[in-house]
Amino acid sequence: MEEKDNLPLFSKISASLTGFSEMELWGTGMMETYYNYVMGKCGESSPTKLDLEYFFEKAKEIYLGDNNDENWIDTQIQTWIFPPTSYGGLAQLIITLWYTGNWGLGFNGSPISAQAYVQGLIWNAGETHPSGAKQPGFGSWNIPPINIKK
Amino acid sequence: MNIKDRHDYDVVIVGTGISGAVLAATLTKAGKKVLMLEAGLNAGMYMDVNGSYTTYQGYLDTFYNAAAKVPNSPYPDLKNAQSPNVLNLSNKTPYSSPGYFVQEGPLPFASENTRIPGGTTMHWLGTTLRMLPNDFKMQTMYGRGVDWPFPYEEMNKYYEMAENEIGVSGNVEELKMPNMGENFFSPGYVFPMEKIPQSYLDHKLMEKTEGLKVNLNNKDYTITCISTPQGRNSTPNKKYRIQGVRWDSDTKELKLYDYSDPKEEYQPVASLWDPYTGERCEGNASCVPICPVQAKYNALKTLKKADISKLNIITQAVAVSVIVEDFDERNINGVVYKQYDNQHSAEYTTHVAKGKIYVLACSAIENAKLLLASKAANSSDQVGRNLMDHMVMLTWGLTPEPIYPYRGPGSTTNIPTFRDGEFRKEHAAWISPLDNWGWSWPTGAPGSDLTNAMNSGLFGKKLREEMNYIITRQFLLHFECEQIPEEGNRVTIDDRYLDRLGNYRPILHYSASDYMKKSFEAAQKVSEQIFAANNIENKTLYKPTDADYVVYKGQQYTFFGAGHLVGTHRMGTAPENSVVNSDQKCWDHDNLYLVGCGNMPTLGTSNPTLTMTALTFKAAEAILRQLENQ
Repeated sequence: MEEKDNLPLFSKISASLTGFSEMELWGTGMMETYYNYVMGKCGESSPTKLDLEYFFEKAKEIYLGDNNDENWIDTQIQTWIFPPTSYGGLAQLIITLWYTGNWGLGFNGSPISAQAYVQGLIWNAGETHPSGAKQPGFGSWNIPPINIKK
Repeated sequence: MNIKDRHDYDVVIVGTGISGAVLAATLTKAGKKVLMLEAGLNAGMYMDVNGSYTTYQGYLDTFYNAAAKVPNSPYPDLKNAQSPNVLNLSNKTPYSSPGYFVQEGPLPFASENTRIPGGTTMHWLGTTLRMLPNDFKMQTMYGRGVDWPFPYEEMNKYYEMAENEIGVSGNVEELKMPNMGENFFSPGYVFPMEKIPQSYLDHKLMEKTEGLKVNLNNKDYTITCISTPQGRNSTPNKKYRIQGVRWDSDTKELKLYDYSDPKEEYQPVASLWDPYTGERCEGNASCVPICPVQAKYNALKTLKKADISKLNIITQAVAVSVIVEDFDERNINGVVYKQYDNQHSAEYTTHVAKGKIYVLACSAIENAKLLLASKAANSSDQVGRNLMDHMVMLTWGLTPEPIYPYRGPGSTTNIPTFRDGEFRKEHAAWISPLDNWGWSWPTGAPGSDLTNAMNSGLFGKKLREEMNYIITRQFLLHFECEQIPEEGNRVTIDDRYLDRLGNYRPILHYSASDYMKKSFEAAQKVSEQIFAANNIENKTLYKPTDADYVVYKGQQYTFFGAGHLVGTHRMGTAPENSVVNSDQKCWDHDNLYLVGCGNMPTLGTSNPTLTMTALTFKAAEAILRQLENQ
């Protein structure tokens, strides 16, 4: 199996897990970095390489089948992918990576790089910007944030 | 002769934080030769544009990569000149590890300074409120603490110097504070720059808080909300005409002087003087611990204004003691310091710095430690005593509508209502900043909100919606309670506790008196009424695992350190009751001055940096007088 074979699947499952569209995720510039990072992190201890293989096998079943219904996909993820007991807790690690740039849950996590912190989606979710980066400009805090999607 | 080779310094200064920097700039511009000793790394002190920019970007990168973005997270953790860190706090006192401070308790001292070039202004928030007139006479007015040796009125000129040096943005007309009197500001006075815009959440909260009647202990108070003056760049105020401060050797005074050309006006510049950056605050929302665009003042800005032909700075030079060879002679004969070449090695060489006058310009805790190690300046037995901080009780809740926190400087509005009043006879006064950064301080939000949401089974769009809901509604209120000086809250040293270079580690003895506990209870009563008026759902949760808490009348109150390290070598009216006189010269020695927050006899309810800076100009004036009279 080629290293990058599962990248499109990683993109799809990341979107389902985070609630951000694939386009938004690719827009951070972090997709390949995170894919490679997760591939590298799964090893001897949990989550293991085998966890990762089964994770992508299940993802294939969900995304490459005939059923494209979003609710059905969500139910599949809730049942098989999201639980912390599934695949060595991979799903919540991936969500945390996208939201905060951290590898590791809660206070056990730390940024995998400066850029990962800066691209954390938690700030977008909260209609703001990462503390210390992407500054919105003088006086911008005086008015509600401008959200072009609204 | 090159300044680097001289040995005839007029003044030797230990520390390159804001006090040391103000002294170095003021004294060298008056023609005096100055040597500074700095414990931190040489890279932090590069005076050239490329070097200082590279170091600063390195701090920023370290901040981005830090797991916990606490005040000292961007800065080097030096084994040869350690700084305290809030991550080392525990409520299981006494303990001597982990961390730099030895915490004797009963409560751990929770504030931290930074031992690097530029000192703690590298991570300060930048709030620049003045103390109030009654803060200077606490004993006379309220029978608490001590009076200062001079009244507020004597500080006005020095406050103006400090506000010029730091570059304060604010609106004088909005600063209506309790019992401030008629002449709090000079007639027509303005700050160098217009006020930093108040946040959207300030405005939302003010709708129902400004003018709110609250009852506290059977007395009615009317809450007011005012914009907070701060040391970060904003739009220059064209009415501000002060260009700077200079020594007048005829009248033997430091004087403010105006721009001579009417076309000239105040220029906001970056804290490292880099061009085309930091001319305005850009809303990075990370003032503590670092402003990425240099719009927040730090002491390096002042240091770079010094006349470098008259200034020598020795870095990686950790002061050990001052030499008191013959106490009767009342003279200090040098500063012993250990210089290390490599931060990863414990190897050092020992040297002595000599000058006519010596100044200790470190944090309150380091200054006290050095004096104790030197057996100097302590005939009053006050060295190390009266350690103070603002004990910060936080309350937090969820607003009914989004208020969009995590934007703008840390705080842009404060409630001054309880900064002064008769209640100070019974319990501590406080200031209440409205906080712009959500619940990040007490809960670790928004990261902790993500953990909570996933633990409740949320993922995908529902997770994103929940994060939007909770992050945009977070309100945090501070109650920064004025700790009153107490002898038992103190710094000591002991041969059992030394750092890697064999220097003393500070031992801290710290507690909260009933006077403080009563203020926590009172503050909770006020918080409750503000939350009710704004329909804020209270989410405040104090835990028995919190590092600093007290139980009062069966209730737990958790407090945090404010980063305001004050007291330890108080200024006073006589050698018996204090360490320094009103010139900040040691009563016991003719050529030793102390500057910094350690001199403050009481704390007041303002963040202490502005007052400390004002006092440092006063000390600079006294030092220049002494040098020119010798």
